[in-house]
Amino acid sequence: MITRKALNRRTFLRGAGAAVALPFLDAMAPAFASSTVKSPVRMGFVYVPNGIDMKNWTPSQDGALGELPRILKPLDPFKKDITVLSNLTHNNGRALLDGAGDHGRCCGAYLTGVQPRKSAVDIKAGISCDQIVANKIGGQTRFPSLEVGLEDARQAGDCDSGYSCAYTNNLAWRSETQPLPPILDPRAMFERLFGKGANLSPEERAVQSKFRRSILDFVTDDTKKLQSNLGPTDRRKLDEYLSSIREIERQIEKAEKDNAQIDPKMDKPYGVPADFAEHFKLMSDMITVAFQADLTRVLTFLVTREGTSRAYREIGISDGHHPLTHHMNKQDLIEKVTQINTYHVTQFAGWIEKLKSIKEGDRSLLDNCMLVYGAGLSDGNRHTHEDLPTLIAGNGGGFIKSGRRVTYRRETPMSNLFLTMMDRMGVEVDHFGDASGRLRGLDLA
Amino acid sequence: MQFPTTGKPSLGVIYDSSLGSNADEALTLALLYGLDGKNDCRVIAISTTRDSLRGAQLCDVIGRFLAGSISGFFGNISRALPIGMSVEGKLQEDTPIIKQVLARPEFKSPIAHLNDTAEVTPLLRNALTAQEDKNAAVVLNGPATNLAALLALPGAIDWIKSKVRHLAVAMPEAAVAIDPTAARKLFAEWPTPIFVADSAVGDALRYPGASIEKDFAWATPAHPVVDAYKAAGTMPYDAPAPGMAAALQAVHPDKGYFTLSDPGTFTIDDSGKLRFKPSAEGRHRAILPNDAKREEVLALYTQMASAKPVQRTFRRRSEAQQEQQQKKNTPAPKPESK
Repeated sequence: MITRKALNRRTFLRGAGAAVALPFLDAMAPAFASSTVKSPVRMGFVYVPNGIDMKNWTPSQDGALGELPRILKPLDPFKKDITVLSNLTHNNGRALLDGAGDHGRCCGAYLTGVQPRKSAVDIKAGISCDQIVANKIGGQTRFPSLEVGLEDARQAGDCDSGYSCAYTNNLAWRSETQPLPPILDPRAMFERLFGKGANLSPEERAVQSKFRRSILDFVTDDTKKLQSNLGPTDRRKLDEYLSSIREIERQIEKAEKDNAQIDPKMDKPYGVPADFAEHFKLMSDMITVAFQADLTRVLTFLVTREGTSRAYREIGISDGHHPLTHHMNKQDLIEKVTQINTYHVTQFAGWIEKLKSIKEGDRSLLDNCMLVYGAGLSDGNRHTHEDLPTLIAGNGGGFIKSGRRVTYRRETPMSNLFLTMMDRMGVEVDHFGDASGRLRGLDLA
Repeated sequence: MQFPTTGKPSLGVIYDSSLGSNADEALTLALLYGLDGKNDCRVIAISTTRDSLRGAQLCDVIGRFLAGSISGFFGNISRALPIGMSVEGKLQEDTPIIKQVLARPEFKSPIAHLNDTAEVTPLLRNALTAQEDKNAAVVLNGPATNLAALLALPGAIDWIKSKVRHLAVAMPEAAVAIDPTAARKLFAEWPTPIFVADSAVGDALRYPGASIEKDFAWATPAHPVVDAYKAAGTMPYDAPAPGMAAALQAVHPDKGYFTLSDPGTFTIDDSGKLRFKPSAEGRHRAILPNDAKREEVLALYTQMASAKPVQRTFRRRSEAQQEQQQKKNTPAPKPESK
């Protein structure tokens, strides 16, 4: 008779002031029972602003994904892992008598499904679907949810025709009046995930960093003890996992060093990489670790704020993103929008590759995710709120039949998708936003 | 001549029917677009109870023709509305009207797949949410399937009450028979006043067949409403028009085109017949013919149903208002320094 005591899923490597959660290891499942142990499903929303050039986004036909259009091309190696959804609509992003302000409205409505109140000070939207899930299952993980971003997180002021910056700069809403600002600084996120000290000033941090060792140094004893009890596969998994944490530390240190060298007087969050792609990678690497170690199962990732005029000089585009999207059908401007859209998807594809490379039981970590990538506007030139660009990466633990494009009927609420995803997370609510029901045809059934 | 409007927009009208069953359904849509061209109302949504792509194509073709996009009046500047189509399995077969209209090569609809049509309940709800309070009306000419489904959406009673002034219904017995459960739900739960046009008013004020032969002659080579009319009966005939009565009452409830019954409540009895019980607290009224207005109503029917499409002007500020705004936006010149 073969027996083995399983390692607790909530095991941490501990040391002075540090606690490092572990990824899913075979040792966490009883002998011969790994196939019966279910890995958790993670739900995430990755939002890009200003709409997308739909001609270069939408696959030519429904069903199995063939040749991907230009913007989605970077996802070509993972096309069996993605599902492109067409015709989903956010009616509450439309004007509905509130006049101008589509950027503020579409982002405020995106995960809440309600029409945000038009105000620069007296904000009101609704509880976002990620927070509904976090409220219900967040107690099972160290962090109920993670809110991440790469740009401006100002919460006050008028960011779009009378709409508060709270609408354009947040995705997650804990209550009707309380948005959850994204973390922009990789160091703050790292320390939130793995240790204390997130609130240190740059000066204090500089003093401390002279003596800083890797967080892994603090948990060496625990690591050694654990390694001696693991089989070769788990040992390799653990090594890879700890190496990825160390790599993130190195990237953060490098970013901090680079920033200091480039422009010490720059008024920007400490430790934020100057390079967009590097910043994206760093944040997504940390999200990966957080998913891997089951620190959270719920994510919102505001790639850049809605309505942003960020320039992408790293790819040779010095015009602002938002002005470019009002291209008045000029081909040279549309081309630049397409390049920005493709650049965003390229970063996302890099992350998808990483998630897919990580094994979790019989599947990959990506398989156990449902990551919605999309925008609150489709045509940024005309500010349209129907046929929103939407794809899901991962299949939610075998729930979604991926590798396809599915076109829904016109006016199908985006909220129907979110309601269905909440179901998959084990959080069944009667109603959400302007949902008219569950989204059919998404699952394997 | 049409002038740009600057005030409150005209009444938004939803038209839900089983277009393709009889001539009245097509005439009613034509009447609504005729009134729309006069700025008396705006057609804001079209939906059908027919669970059939061909039924949706018929709505699309007639709707786009009347809105001016395929009658060649405005090129691509059309107000083509998405067509909400029921998928409840009712009325799936082709009718002579559908066959006749869609047989013409010039009446081709881009609707080819289910996902070219719209989900009915979000479509109708979304159309209503874009209207100012109490500035919408719903005209039902057929089974109540779609409106009963609309009532089932969360919070529907509240936003229907806030947006919709009234519902006007033409529901022949055949339409009740298709979905009696929905009809019962509609009369029991719809939260606004309801006007009901039954066969009495439909028969008393029939659409004159002679108009079909002469008033639509401007449309070459064909007019889909004429095709529908001719396919629905043997010419010459005057078509019963309860839907037109309901639509005209919905758009112009205060003009006295019809006599209204005392308030009461409509119900559907066990045999599927509409019954009316007067009561002071009832929200329903029957639309009855008004002999004094008979000629005026028939003239309006024929003029509006056969009207050429009118390009709706954008709501915008008058030149004087635009000038005023420009002055506001221009900073005052700084005094010259001496």
